[in-house]
This record gives sequence, C-alpha cells and structure tokens, in this order.
Amino acid sequence: MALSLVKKAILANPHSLRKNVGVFCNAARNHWNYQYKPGPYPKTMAERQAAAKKYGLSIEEYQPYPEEMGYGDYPKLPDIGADSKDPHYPYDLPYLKRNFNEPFHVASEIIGEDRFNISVKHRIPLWQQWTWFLGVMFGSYMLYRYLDDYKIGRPVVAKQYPQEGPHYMFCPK
Amino acid sequence: MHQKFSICFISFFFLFFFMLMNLFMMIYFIISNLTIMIEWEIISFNSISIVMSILLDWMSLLFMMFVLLISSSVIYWKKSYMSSEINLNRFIILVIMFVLSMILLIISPNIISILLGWDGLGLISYCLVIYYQNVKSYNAGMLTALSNRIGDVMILMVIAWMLNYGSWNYIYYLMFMKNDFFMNVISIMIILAAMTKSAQIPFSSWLPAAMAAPTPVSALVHSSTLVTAGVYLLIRFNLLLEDMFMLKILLLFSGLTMMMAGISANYEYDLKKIIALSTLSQLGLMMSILSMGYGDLAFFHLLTHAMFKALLFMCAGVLIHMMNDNQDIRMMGGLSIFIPVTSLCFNISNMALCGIPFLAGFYSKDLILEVTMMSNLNMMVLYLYYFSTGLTMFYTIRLMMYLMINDFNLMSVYNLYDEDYIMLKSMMILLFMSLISGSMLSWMIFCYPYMIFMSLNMKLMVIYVSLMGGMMGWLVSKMNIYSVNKFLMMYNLNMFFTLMWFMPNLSVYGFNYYILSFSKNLYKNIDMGWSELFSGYGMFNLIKNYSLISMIYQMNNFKIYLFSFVFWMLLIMLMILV
Amino acid sequence: MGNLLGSFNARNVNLNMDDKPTFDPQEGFSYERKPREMIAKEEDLISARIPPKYRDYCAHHLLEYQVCRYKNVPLMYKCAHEKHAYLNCEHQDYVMRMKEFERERRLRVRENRLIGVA
Repeated sequence: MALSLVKKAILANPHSLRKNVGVFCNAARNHWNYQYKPGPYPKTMAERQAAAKKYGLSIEEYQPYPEEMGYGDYPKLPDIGADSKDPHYPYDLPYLKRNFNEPFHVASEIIGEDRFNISVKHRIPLWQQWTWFLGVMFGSYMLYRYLDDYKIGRPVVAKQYPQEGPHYMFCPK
Repeated sequence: MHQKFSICFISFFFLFFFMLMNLFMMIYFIISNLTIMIEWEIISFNSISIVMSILLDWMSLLFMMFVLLISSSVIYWKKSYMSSEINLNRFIILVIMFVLSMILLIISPNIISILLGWDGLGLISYCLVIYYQNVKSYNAGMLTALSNRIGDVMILMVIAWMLNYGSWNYIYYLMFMKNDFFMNVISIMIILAAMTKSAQIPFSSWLPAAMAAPTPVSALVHSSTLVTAGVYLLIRFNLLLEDMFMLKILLLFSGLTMMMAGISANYEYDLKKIIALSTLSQLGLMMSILSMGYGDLAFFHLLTHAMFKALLFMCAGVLIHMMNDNQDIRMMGGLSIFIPVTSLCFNISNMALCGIPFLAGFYSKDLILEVTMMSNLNMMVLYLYYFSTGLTMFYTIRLMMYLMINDFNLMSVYNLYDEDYIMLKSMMILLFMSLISGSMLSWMIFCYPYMIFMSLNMKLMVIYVSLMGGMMGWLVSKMNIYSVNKFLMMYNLNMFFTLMWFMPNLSVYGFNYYILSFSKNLYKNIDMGWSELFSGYGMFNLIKNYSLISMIYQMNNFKIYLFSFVFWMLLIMLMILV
Repeated sequence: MGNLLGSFNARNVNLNMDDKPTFDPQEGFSYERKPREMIAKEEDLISARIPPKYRDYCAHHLLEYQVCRYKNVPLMYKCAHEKHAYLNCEHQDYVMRMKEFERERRLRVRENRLIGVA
C-alpha cells in the first residue's frame, strides 16, 4: 500500500516529482506569503472603508487592532471559539464551522475546535476552581505533615535477629 | 475480509503460544531463582560502557505472560467487535506494535531501551486514542500525548544524568548509591515520570479522557499495560528508593488519587469513565503500597488487577455494542435477565475488583490492606486506604444496581443478544484466569510468606467498610423521586467531586491559553519576524543584493576596467607614501 | 478497634514501634531466662540464598518450605503444612516481640515513677 503511493508520487508523471517536492519545501519554508500580508493601519475614513470591503465586513463591524500591536489593518473579530459556535447551522465548511470567505480570526489556530475554546463560560469560575483544588492539596499535605508525628504502629519492638547478640524467651531454663 | 485465517487469528495464536512458552519458563525461573541477562556490547571506552541488554527474571517473565494473555484475548475479541471497520489491518498492526513496545519495556534493564518502550507506548496510545477521527478524539489524544510527554522528558533527563555513573544499566546501581545526591535527583525524576504515566495527581486528567479510544484499546491499554508501566518502572527501582523523602509525597499523592477517583466514580454516568476511574483508584493503591516499600505486593496487585479489569472493559464493550453505541448507564438496566452470560462475567469481575473473598482481587487487595495495618503509618494514610476500599464497593454496587437491577431504559430489548461466540470465548479465558490467578499467583510469587497477626476487629474492618460502602451504593441508586442525591444542593461541592477535583478543567483551561498565546507571540515576532530578517529571507535578500552589485563588474563595461586601474594606482601610491 | 492505637499509649514514655529495648534482659526476672536458639545453620542459609532480613529464628521452617516448594512445583498448594508451620513460628516470634514491648513500657513507667519520687 505504501509502495504504490510512493510509486504514484514519483514515477507516474514526470513533473509530479517536482510538484511533490515543492509541497514539502513549501511546508518547511517559513517565510510568509506576501499576498497574505495585511495592509498598513488605516488612518482615514476612506482607508477604513476600503479595508472593510477587502475583508468582507461592513463598516460598522470593522475594527482594527491598536496600531502598536503590529497587525496593520487586520480586523478584530469577536473572540468566539469554534466549540461555542452553533453545531446545527449548515456551514459551507462544517469541519471548520466556517462559511466561504468568512474572515479568519487572528488567533484562529488557537481557538479552533481541536485547541482551546476561548469563549467558554464556566459554571464555576476558574479562580474558584484553582482555589478548591490547591486548597485541598495544600490542606491534605499540611494534615499529613502534622500527623506524621503521630504514627500508628503495632506494639512490637524491633525484629530479633540472631546476629545481634543473645535474645531470651520468657520461660525459665 | 471474512476469511477464516485473518490477521486476528494469526496474531491471537502467535501471542497465545508465546504466552505458554513464557509460562513454562517462568515457573522454572521462580523455582530455581534464576536470572538471565543477555548483553550486546555496542561500545565501551573511557569508563563508559554502552550495552544493549535483555533481562529475563521471574518478574519480567510473569508480567510478559500476563500482557500477552490479555492482548491475545483482546485481539481475538476485537475481531467481532470491530467487524464493521474497514481498516482493521491498520488497527491490529497498531495493537501489535503496542504489545511489542510493552514487551521491550518489561525486559529491559537499562534506561535507553526503557525509553524506547516508554515513548513507543506513549506514541502508539496516542495513535490508538485518535483512531476514530473526530474532534473529541483529537482533543483526548492531545491530552494523553502531552501528559505522557512530561514523563518522557523526565526519563530523557535521567538518561543524560545516568551516563555520569558509567552506563545506563540502572539494575547495577540500585543498592550501592543510595546516599549520593545525584542519584536522589534521578530517583525524584523517575518518580515523576511514573506519576505521569500512571496518572496520579496532578497528572490524572488524561485517563478518563482517553476513553474516547475504541473499547479494545481501552481494554488492553488503559486497564493493564500502559498505566502499569509507571508502576513497573518504580518496582524495578524500588531498592533505590527506600527511605526517601519523595516517597512520602508519593504516598500522599497516590492515596489522594485513590480517594479522588473513588469519589468521582460515584457521580459518573458514562460506563467507560466509571471503569477508567476505578482503574485510576486501583493504580493509586498500587503506587501507595509501592511507596511503603512492599514492591512485590504492588506487583501482585498489578497482575490480578490486569486480569479482571480487562475482563470488565470487554464486558462493557459488549454492552455498548448492544446498546447501539450508547454508553450512558441510565439507559441500561435489567441486564442480568436478558444477557446472563455477559452479566456473569461482569459481576464476577466487579466482585473481584472489590475484594470479595477468594476471587482474584481478594488475595492481593486484602493482603495489601493487612500489611498496611501491620506497619508504622500516620493515621491519614490508613484512613485513605480503608475509605477508598469502601468507595470501591460503593461505586461497584451502584454500577451493578444501574445495570442489573433497575429497569431497562432504552428502546427495545431486541438488540440484546448474548450469542456472539467470539467475544464470549475470549471473555471466558479471562474469566477463568480472574478466578484462579489470585490464588495461583499468591502461592507462586511469595517465596517468603507474609505473617499477618491482628485482632478480630481490625481484620474485619475491611468487611465493615465494604458493607457500609455497599449499603451507600444501594441507597444512592434507588430510583425514587425523593432521593436527596439528585437535587442541586451543595452544587459547588458536587461539581468539585464530579469533575475530578477540577483537574481536567484546570490542566486545559487554566494553562493552555497563556501558553498558546505566548507561543503565538513568539512565533509571530521571532520565528516569522526578526529571525526571518537575520536568516532565512533576509539573508537571501542580502546575498542577492551583493551578487547584483558584484554583477556590475562583470557587465563588460570598459569604463569599469579603466576606473579600477586608476583606483589601483592610487592605492599603491598611497601605500608608498604612507 | 482496641488494638488499632496499639502503640499510641506508649508515646508517653517515648516508646514507638520497632524501637530496641534499652534495659538489661535479665532485669526484673526472678528466674534465669532461657536463650533463644538458632536452629538453621549459617551455611545452609547462605547456600539457599535467603535474603538477610529473613534469616531470623524461624529460618529452619523457611528452609523446609523452600524444599517442599521445589519438590512440588507447579502444584505448590501441597506445601500448605510447611507454610502453616512457618507462619506459626513467626506468630510466636511476633507475640514475643509484643511481650518485650510491654515489658519495656512497664519498666520505663516504673523508671519514671522512681525518678519522680526521687
């Protein structure tokens, strides 16, 4: 099975080797694609409208990141994790829960469905969870250390080995 | 692929034959107290010797025998369970690779081949957990792999450090270097590695999550082999670890794991998660008796637990299959009437888990409890042991009530059929072993028997806590409307116990976002930013510009040659004058 | 659970489990105490490769048990008689240790009382 795949990748088509090696090189080459680079930070109203049109958002919902963060005119989309999106809506790409031409969130690989869910609303707030857990661990450790001085043992002395000198029984000779 | 001699049968026969061979060798080795070590020396220079060794003593042969028995039964059982799977070959090859890594881990007396087996176990269990490729399985697999990775890092550091002592065969160092500071550090790392693999607190969130794997994987991996690899490593290192401070911490953590898993299993409604949490509880028991110095008792409990836990998972798999892939125990009920043979296996393995007298679990578990009574402990540990024993009975009786006694809650009883002979045959093998292996092993392993002497009440305390736990289990699962445990009082406390003391939540939501966004910033600013300027694309641009400049000299422009002549003359005159 | 806190009361005189006795073995006895005998020979124990912590006063029963195991493998349940003999001997040894403990405790209490009076 693996051998047939290898044969198909290399030998079938004369250009296929170059294309397939190209795929691997592209995956490893780290430089970003110049077409993906966002434009400069929009300062005037006309620039904002052009940027909103470029990203497919309306002018009310387009809001760029602050300039010093270095994102240019990329829009700041609301932080909704993929796990919180509606599972029953007929998306164009159901496994990404995304429609066609919908702008990606800047951190979309972090808040995707197989990673962190940034918009989860915990029933018990996270600080409370930490307090419960660390409190129980710390409390039991302290209790353990305190009780370490009060060991329960059996009422026996050390085991008697014949090498350690004469031992005696409790009856007369 | 319904041919008679499919890969399932072939691998089953091969593993079973290997197991029988191991059985005979093991009996011979126990009696004649023999240990064989086969070594291939790779290189030896300057007080370092790198050898590849295989250690065959009774402990490794016995463990190998049990691993092979369980894996052969599971592979045979799996033929019927996953008959609707198209890529069965791939799955079986993964399972066989898993068994091979486990065997490599068992027979190796040096740290390098333990690392090969350990990392192999982690990697293959990841591949097996994500076998059903949906997003929940991906998440579960990631949690498994990353938790195991921490242990791998610890073992890597131990490898680096152990070369200090001359070779990687830790077997030779165990008795001699107890007071050396670096050996203590090595032992702390080994303990941490075993804690991650065997899912103690605080690393225990991966074990219930890994139930996203198919049930044969859970039966083989998460009941008997992967999670006991950590315990086995510590059993091998047990001579080194005596009288260490870290052992007391291990005792506390494993005792807390026992209790936490017992409590959380009482609130769970997913069948596989209950069994996973009961595995976690027994693992805590094994680790804690190990940290008190009784390594052979931990080993004994490891073996008997593997038997009945694998059987329990297989029965659970049969039940899930019948319930149309539904895992909720609220949907099941009355099964002892409809599927008597499977519920027989289920009941026997549950009772063996609790330590009902003279089944397999009794010999190991009761001996462990009595030995702890006889030793010098602080009160909290004693309390943890006996309370967890009661909790075991509690969730077992609750599970049996839900499954066997209360009414059947799913659509129709037509699905419940007991005549799947392939599954039944392999369950019968394990059933037989789980009945007799307790007594058989207790005769064979203990060359030097333990003497137990205690008053009547102390000895019966096991029965007292079991009965109390059983009664609580019966009370909790009565399906009345006026049943206080179904109300939402004390919500926070109940959530604390249900969600495993918030550990899965905290290890995911507490940590992940900060680490992921930190790595995003690093990647964006450094990997794709500045270091592209100084290497990568920036270097490319720089070299291109320089070669453009140097191309100017090669453009065959006559003026360049005249100018360079003049420039050279000027330079020589400057050098003559100065 | 009367015996659970077995050595707890001895904490008043600073006596814990596995302590060594500090008084002279003959003190307080009107008769002369019989010494314990070690029946198994040292070279037998060495050649049977019994670990040092099991070479106590009951080791002769242990040797019998090992011999019986070797003869009866794999039907080791037939050695129940030898195992029972060994465990009985260990039991007597344990009871003797408990008696020594109690004697030690009483001697220490008496010591404290004498010091308290003086």
